[in-house]
Amino acid sequence: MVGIPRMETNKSFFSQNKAYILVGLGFVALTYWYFWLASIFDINYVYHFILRIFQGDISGQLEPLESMSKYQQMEAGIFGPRYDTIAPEIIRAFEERQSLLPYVFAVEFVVFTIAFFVFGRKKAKIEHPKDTVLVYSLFQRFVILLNIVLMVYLFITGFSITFGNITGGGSVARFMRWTHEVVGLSWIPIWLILTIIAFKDHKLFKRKRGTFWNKIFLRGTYKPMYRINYLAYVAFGFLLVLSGFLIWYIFPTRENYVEVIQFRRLMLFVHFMGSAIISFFIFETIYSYVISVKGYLPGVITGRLPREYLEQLRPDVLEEMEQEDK
Amino acid sequence: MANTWGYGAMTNSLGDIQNAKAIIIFGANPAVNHPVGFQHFLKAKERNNAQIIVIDPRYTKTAAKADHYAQIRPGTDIPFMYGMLHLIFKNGWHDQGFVDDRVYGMDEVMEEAKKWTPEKVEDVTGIPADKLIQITRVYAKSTPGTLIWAMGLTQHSIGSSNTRMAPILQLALGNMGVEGGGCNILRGHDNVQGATDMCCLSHTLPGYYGLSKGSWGYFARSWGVDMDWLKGRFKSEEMMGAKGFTLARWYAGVLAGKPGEDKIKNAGTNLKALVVLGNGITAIAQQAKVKEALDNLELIVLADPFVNEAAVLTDKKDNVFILPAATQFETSGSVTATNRAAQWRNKVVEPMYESKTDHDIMFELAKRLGFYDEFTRAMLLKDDPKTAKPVKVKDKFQWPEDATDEIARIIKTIGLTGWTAERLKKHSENWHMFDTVSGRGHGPMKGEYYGLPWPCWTEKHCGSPVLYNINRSVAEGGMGFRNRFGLEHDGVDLLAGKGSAPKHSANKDGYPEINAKNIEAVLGITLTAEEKNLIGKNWKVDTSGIIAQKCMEQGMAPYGNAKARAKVWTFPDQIPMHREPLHSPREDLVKEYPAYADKPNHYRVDTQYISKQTEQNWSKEFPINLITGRLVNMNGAGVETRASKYLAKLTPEMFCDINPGLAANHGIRDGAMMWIHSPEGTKIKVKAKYSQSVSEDRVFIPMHFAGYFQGEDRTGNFPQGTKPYANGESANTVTNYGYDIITQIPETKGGLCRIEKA
Amino acid sequence: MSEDYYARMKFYCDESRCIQCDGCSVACAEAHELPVGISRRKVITLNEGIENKEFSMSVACMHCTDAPCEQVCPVDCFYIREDGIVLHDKDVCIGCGYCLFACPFGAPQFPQDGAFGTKGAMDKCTMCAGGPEETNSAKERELYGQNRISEGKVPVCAAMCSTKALLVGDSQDVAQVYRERVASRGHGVQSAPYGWDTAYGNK
Repeated sequence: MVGIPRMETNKSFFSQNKAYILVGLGFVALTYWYFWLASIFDINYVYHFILRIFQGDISGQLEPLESMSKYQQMEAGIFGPRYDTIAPEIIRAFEERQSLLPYVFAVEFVVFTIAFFVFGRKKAKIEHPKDTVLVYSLFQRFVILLNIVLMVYLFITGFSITFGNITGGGSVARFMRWTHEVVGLSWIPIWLILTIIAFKDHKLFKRKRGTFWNKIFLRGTYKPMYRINYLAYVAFGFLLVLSGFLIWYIFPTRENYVEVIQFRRLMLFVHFMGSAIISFFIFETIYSYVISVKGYLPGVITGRLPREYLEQLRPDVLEEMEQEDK
Repeated sequence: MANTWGYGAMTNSLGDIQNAKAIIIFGANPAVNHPVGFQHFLKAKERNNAQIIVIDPRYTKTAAKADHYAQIRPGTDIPFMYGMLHLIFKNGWHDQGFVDDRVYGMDEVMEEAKKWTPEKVEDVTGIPADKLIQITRVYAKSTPGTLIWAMGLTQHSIGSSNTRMAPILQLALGNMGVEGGGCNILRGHDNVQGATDMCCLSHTLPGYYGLSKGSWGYFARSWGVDMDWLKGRFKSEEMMGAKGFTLARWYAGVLAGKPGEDKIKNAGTNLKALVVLGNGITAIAQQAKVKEALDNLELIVLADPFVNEAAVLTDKKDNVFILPAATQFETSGSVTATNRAAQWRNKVVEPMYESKTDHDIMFELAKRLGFYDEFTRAMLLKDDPKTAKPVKVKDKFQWPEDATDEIARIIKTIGLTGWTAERLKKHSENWHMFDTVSGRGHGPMKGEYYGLPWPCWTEKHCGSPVLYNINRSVAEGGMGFRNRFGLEHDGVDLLAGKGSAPKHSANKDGYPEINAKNIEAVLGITLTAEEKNLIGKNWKVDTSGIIAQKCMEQGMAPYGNAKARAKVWTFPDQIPMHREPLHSPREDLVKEYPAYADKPNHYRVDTQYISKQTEQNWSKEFPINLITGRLVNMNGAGVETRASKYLAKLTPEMFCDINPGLAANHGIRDGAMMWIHSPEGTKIKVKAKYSQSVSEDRVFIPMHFAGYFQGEDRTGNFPQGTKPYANGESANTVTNYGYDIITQIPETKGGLCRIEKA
Repeated sequence: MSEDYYARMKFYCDESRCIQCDGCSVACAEAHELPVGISRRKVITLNEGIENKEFSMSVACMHCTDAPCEQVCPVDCFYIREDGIVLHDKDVCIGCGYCLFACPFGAPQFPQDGAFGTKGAMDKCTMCAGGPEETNSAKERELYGQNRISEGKVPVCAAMCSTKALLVGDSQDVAQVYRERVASRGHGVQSAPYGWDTAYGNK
């Protein structure tokens, strides 16, 4: 049809969307593997349970109590809803099969190595290294670095629990477990801030331009790969934050045990899923920011990147900066 | 009960309940208040297929184990029991032979019962007619049946009628004097039966002797104290024989003379000082008046192991003394259980810090007031068999053994003669040698019942586990009903019928209580001249012990063998009649069943009945029935159990069980605060707790909390380090005015209130 | 050679005798000097106030066969005795809470007074059998409470039960008592004690 602008392209559909497709495949594979690992007994139950939660009932008792036999009613009243629908398999699975995790990480590593060799590495030719431009403000640097530190710490302490047999328990491991909760709580605002300031897809809404706003919001537009990273960070970070917070906040006591235990089990499942998937995206982020493109690491600390680097690899950032100056 | 057949105590025992085929419980909650004893109920249910029937205004933990439950309106037990009797007499389920031989006055009861049809009972009590019929049929046809009650039946303005109605029911069915039957009143606190037997009450000397001149004379002789000296302790001889104030209304003695307060007859003076030795006076009705009275006293002394919350309640700042008393573990002595049996307790630790045992506190007080010698003389005496008079045998007494022996020596009315310290200790040391159901001993304890349940007529007697049982000889603990009310009334013989004497009795029929004049004729023996010289005036004051001994030889009970009386001609209501509580939710029934006439000089206080009931239509402004009761983890006034962290954790706050429908009508959410207003003008602020155990016209509040008063936190008054973990409003701040016509027990189970969202 | 018989310890709470007197939970807290926030044993009442439906039951660790808590613990701090009692090592425990997620009965308890709401080391009913420390030492007493099994005494909760609703002991003896009660009651009894099939399967 005439009148609709169409991007000049002689690329195939595949090469245009290869980022989405490849990541999508990886995600599907990972999720399938996660669900196999978790061996949820009754995925149908989980689905209906989640629907129920949105209706406000978190107890997990899907069948009305009156429809069950008196014996079953009494058991449900004392011990909670049907236990074997959601536990202990997930946790037992993680305990028994934790030795598989390094293999998964190894597979991911191999995949990205292959990608490195297949797709190569983009580099920027820098002849005037001193000609730098201030890209990241102090605030932005602080948030990004803090985010990296916290996420790394959470990764280490979180998986220290999973690999408890290697740590052997004891007071050091208990300390790591305790700090996982504390650091996790403190990561919530950081995640939120980074989600907001990294919302670069502003062609969806008009964002105010100007030096002040660009000190807060990151400049530039997203390429598909980076957009996926951002979306994964937001989505799975949200799941981790929500489930982790709820697990921490709903302290199990004598009184509330029956009402909350099934919900807490579901939250644990979500938390594990979030952590497994976000670990994939951590590798993916490292690959896309550092491996597939030769990054300029000092830039994250000083905030300044060489102009030529920007011209060759990040022309969208440069364009925005020029617009600002006007 | 004492007015029905002679003794007012539990007639059987807890273990004996396992022999019952039907257990009907009126206004008692043994699952909460006697949890260990309740296993006997459950075993009866399990092993004997006993039916448990619970009649209670709310669905208690006991009701949860019941086969039949009736939710009765508070204060309407008499109509219910009449309803049962109506059906029993109509269908001929009663034991006519038993009634003919051993009961007087049942005809009038039968007449009254005719009026109480199931429909009428349903209107008054709120229990459906078919439920009444079902319960009656089950209970009447499953014999032996035992009838249990506790405070739910007694704490009403007609409590003394209630507690006569229940025996009448049992008498009609012939359930008295049999194993598995009886009237089993469950006493509450540890050793309350012992305290009752020692009559820490204001209307009688120890052992229920009353306050007559003869009783005082007997005690003066037995204590070795000069009668004139005793008389001199009182303002006048009239006051010596006058009943004193009760625990329920002592404060009237302080407040009399103020506007609106009941008048008193206290020899022209108000009460000035109060000494409390281990009593939770913050758990008595009308707390606002108690507080006012405390503020107006000149001297308050509180002796308790924990700080008595009266000290926190009062605003009085001077002359308030708190004495640390020792607990039961720091002293030894005998205690009496609800089944009239005694056990011996041993000291396990010396009194700690500065605390003193109760007796040491009293001895110190007696020393300073100048009568220590007279106070303790009785423990140095023993009865001389040659003169039938007490003589001094030692210079220093051994506590508590000599005190126990003194009691055994003197108290004959309830037959404590056999309760020497030595025998009681032997029982407690050999408690594994007794059967739990019957109480019979084996091995070294063969021939005795555990704890020697009184009456234990002589030093060799085995104890009487089941009262009024004529299927046993007196030597084995059997007996008939007591001859306490004379030989005849209105031309009808009050002695038991022919052939209804205990087994192996020399006299096969009814016989009067034994005294010096009739002993030879009744027992059919001849006394020697010396015996005639030594013998006491009657079996209650016989220091020589000859009457008891001769009676045992002849197989007869010293207190006679009479009929139980369904009609008490000295009471305002000769047969029990229903009267609405002073604060009744049914104005129409108040007109039909009004309260008693006002009673002047009721334990020295002019007490209101009909004038209070008709003062205004209480049900209009206060439409909700107020029920009080207990919790399993709390005890009495609660200061001891609320200071124990694990017990306090279970119920950390004062609350009110309220029906969700009723709460919704007032906009009160589950866990929100609410006000309860009482007709006395007081109010408390408590937390609402939704519960299905109460219906929409009543609420329930537990009685164990104190420390807050009408919304004000008074726990700052505690001395440092003594504040309990759990504090709250006292239920008795909002209990209503109302007292039993005979005993003056407060009507805490029949009050009204108004609720409001806070 | 006579066949060796090893006792297998089990709990059983008879809900037709339990009156929610909470004697068991208070006795346990008192005997082991537990902090107030921990309830190793708790009494639950269902359908309160509803005629003929109300019942109560005392719940603590069931010491299951194939205990799921032991299976999911990432640091393997549990050990199961030959008589079936499941115990754990508080020094190794990292407080991750997996055992609580896995337990069908909610037995693991966590102290509520940690900083930032942390859980700390897990605590649960030991059937009065102490822990891995030296038997009856002060350290064992402090961490796990009394060790009554080593002295041949009944666990304190069942010893204190007012109505003998709570029984503990070798499973054959407990089952025998249960069978007798069932027979004498003669009606309205379910097929198995609550929780036994989840906890013990067919063993």
